[in-house]
Amino acid sequence: MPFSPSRPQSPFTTVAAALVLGGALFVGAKPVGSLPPLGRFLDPVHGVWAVAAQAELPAQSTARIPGLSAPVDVRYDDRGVPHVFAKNTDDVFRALGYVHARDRLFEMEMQTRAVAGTLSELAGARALPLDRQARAQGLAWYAEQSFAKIDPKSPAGRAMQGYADGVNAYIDQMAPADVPFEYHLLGTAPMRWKPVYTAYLQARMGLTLAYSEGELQRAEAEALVGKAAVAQLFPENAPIQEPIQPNGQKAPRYDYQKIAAPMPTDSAKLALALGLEHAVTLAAADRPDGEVVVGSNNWAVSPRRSANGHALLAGDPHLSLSLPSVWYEAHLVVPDTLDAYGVTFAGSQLVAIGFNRDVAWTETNTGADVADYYVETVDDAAHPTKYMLDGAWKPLVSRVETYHGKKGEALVTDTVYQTHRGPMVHAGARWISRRWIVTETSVGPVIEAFRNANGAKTVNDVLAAWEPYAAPAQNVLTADRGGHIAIRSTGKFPIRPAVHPTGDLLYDGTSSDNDWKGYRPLAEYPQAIDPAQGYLASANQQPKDPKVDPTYMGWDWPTPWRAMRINALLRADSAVTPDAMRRYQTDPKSEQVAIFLPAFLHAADDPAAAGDSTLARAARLLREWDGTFTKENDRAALYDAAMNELARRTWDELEMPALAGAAANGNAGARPRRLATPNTMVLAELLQDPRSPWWDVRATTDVVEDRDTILRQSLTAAYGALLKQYGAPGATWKWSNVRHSNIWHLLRIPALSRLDIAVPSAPATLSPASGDGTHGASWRMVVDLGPDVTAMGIYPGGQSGNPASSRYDDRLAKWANGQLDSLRFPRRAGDLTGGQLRSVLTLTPER
Amino acid sequence: MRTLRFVLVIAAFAAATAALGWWGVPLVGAAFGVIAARERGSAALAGLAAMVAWTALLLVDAARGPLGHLASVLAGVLTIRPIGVYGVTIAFAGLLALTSALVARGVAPRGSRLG
Repeated sequence: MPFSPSRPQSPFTTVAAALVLGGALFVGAKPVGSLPPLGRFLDPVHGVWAVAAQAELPAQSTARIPGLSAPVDVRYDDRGVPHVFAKNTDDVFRALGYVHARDRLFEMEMQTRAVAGTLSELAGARALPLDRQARAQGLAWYAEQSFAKIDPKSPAGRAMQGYADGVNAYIDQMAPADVPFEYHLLGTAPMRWKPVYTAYLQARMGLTLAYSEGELQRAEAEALVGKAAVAQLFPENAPIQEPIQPNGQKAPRYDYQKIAAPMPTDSAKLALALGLEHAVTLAAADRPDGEVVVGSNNWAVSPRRSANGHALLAGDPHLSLSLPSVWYEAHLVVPDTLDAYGVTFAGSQLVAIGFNRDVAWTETNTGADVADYYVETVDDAAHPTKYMLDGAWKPLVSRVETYHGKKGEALVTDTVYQTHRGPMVHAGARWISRRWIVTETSVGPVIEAFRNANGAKTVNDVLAAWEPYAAPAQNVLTADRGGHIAIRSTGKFPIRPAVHPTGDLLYDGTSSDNDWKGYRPLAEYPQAIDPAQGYLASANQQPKDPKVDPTYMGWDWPTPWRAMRINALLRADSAVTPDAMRRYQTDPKSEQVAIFLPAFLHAADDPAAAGDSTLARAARLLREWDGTFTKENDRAALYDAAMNELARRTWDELEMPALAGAAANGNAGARPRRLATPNTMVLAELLQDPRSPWWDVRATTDVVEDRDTILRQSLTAAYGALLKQYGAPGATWKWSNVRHSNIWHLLRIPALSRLDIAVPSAPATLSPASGDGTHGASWRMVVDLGPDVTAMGIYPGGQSGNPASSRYDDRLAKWANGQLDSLRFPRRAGDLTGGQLRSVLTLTPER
Repeated sequence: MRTLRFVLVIAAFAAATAALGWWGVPLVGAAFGVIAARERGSAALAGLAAMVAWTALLLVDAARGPLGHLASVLAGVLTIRPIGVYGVTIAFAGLLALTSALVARGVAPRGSRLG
């Protein structure tokens, strides 16, 4: 081979090249900072670039799954929804595991690790606080115990095992292009899936939907303002009654009372309560500073109130929004057994909210009080081994939790204790244990409930299917093709000791008399079938009118604004159409406005404020407002800001006392943290008492403010704040500039997230938006239960977890505009043809 | 012949990457450094060939999926321009090949050199 001879290479060149090569090899093989090892990452064949090849579904593909008894035909429609046609249920679960893993493997691992407290192994020591919190909750530990009780040959056991087989088949057959994007970014590989992880997911839903620290906030509030006031600020019974179980009324009932005056702060009690908070609760900074406004909606109308004479059902669960979404749409078909379409959780085997050929079902969260706290007496305050119960020492169960980093190195260990009630934590000088329904229930009945609901024929079948279900309690709404509608708040509701039948305090742990006495019978659950009013609706409000049944179910119920709005819309429409149901889901009006807007305007019209030109300008803007929260509306922002100011000024008594507050926040000089915030329903109650001492601002010792003064101050301050932030009133005040949805990727990387999405949502509209925009409508569905069931639906995001895929966020724009997709519901695999069919996956038994 | 040899070196880098991952690049680079030790510019040639090889592999990726979109996503994650993501990838391969060829050339016994 001809060549041009070169001079000998200088040693300096060799050494310099060796140094550079060494550096390149180092950054190629080792992570540097937040970067993964660059060699593997940038490799065009095995690295992140290969992910592009799997971004879109191939027209045809095949895979093998061990244990499959017969081939399974998976047809992806033009929306990327897999329609899984299997010969039996075991196979359908295997196939669903495979298709979930194909689109959502990283999400499945993240949510599993979040429960297990092993995120540090994936993301390093920065995730340690989350892991320690998760393990202190003991969710994975309880899930393991629950799983151990399941007979592997039972339907639930087989479903979990089959699903795991499907997930692992995908993992085992992954080419580099199949490894999700995030694993490349983190420089890690997917973990194998265990059947118990479905139990983890169930526990996680319990944490999301049925976990309450209300007692702790209540204890803090009591220390600040006294017990009598707290009983009314966070009441057992909602002062506005529009219950889920119809009470025969044609309008909401207002049970307003005069709220007891705030008492002076009890500093000793407050110190104890704060100690408890720091030990038990989520980090104080994670607590929302204000009313929690998210929830869910569902409603159904009977044939006599629908335009087409069919029962109609709308489902609209509101959850924390993420990319990828918590939901994954799927259609599961087994001849003569299962033909269910709807949304599934990636990690779980069945349709959680959806429909089949005969019936539709959906849920909202009940929000019942299913957790209690107990002050325990232990033998050694620093290293307890026993706790006192009924005059005798009982051994504590303890276990050592070791946390590992990305390389498997041990980071730290914790000792976690448990009484017969549940996990126990050190809170200042005390030890507190928690009893919680979520850690006492098995995943088996949950799977059974969903499995039976998926195969139900009537509303009664659906209600019966959910009977063994325990937690998190749900308001299950259902409608069938026979024209029936029904709802039941289902789950286990504890019976407390007769001496204190409500769970809103810290119980003395030394007596078993304070333990739960069982669960309420099914007949006492809030429920209704085919009510005379012709419709049913729930939006997390107090489920039963206390005048109908005063039995305790919980306290501090979410505001009824959404429930009132749904009921108002349904009462006014005797010929409801599916499209009207769709429009209702993003209805821009709020019943809250009808109460507070006149109050603001009345206060501004007071002759005492006649000379205040700023107030007059603000009042004029509000008066011109049509009361809606559409994206283009340029008045809604003023009302929203005024409501925030009103809450802040009214509830100053619930703020941490200045010195203690600055110290506890570690941030002297910052605005004091409000320890608890009564919701706007209670604020509406307070509006009825214009001279209540709650209106007085403690900081202004020389003046006694009344209601109208605070309303005026709130409106003026809101106007000033908007002026400062958005300039003069006009286009810049558009609601879309103020309130957004922010849908973060699971790793909270902005480039993978979709932020500042304009939505027609406000804190109290049917499509609510939280202050930071991270919560909202997670799945909207409307089902028409005619002779052939048809449905529409959408969730924010897309089916694929691959950020390079067109299916990653392809539904976002429609979702933000309140539109729904028509859902394809083929009876046979061959029914999807032409443009309706995007991809075919054939799964075959492993040889 | 020089062109053919260049193409063969590119193919060697591509094949080694496919078979061995990114480690294939410094290995082929070192081997080429030894083989072409007496040729002027052989290390630069190795670097250039590796860059062309990874560019070709990226083109294969582009033929199989939305590489441009992926580059935009990556650029967002890494907070650099999309062209920078391509640039870093290709430059990384070139750097590995260049430096490994130079080191191999410098340390290999003169008797082992072929040409």
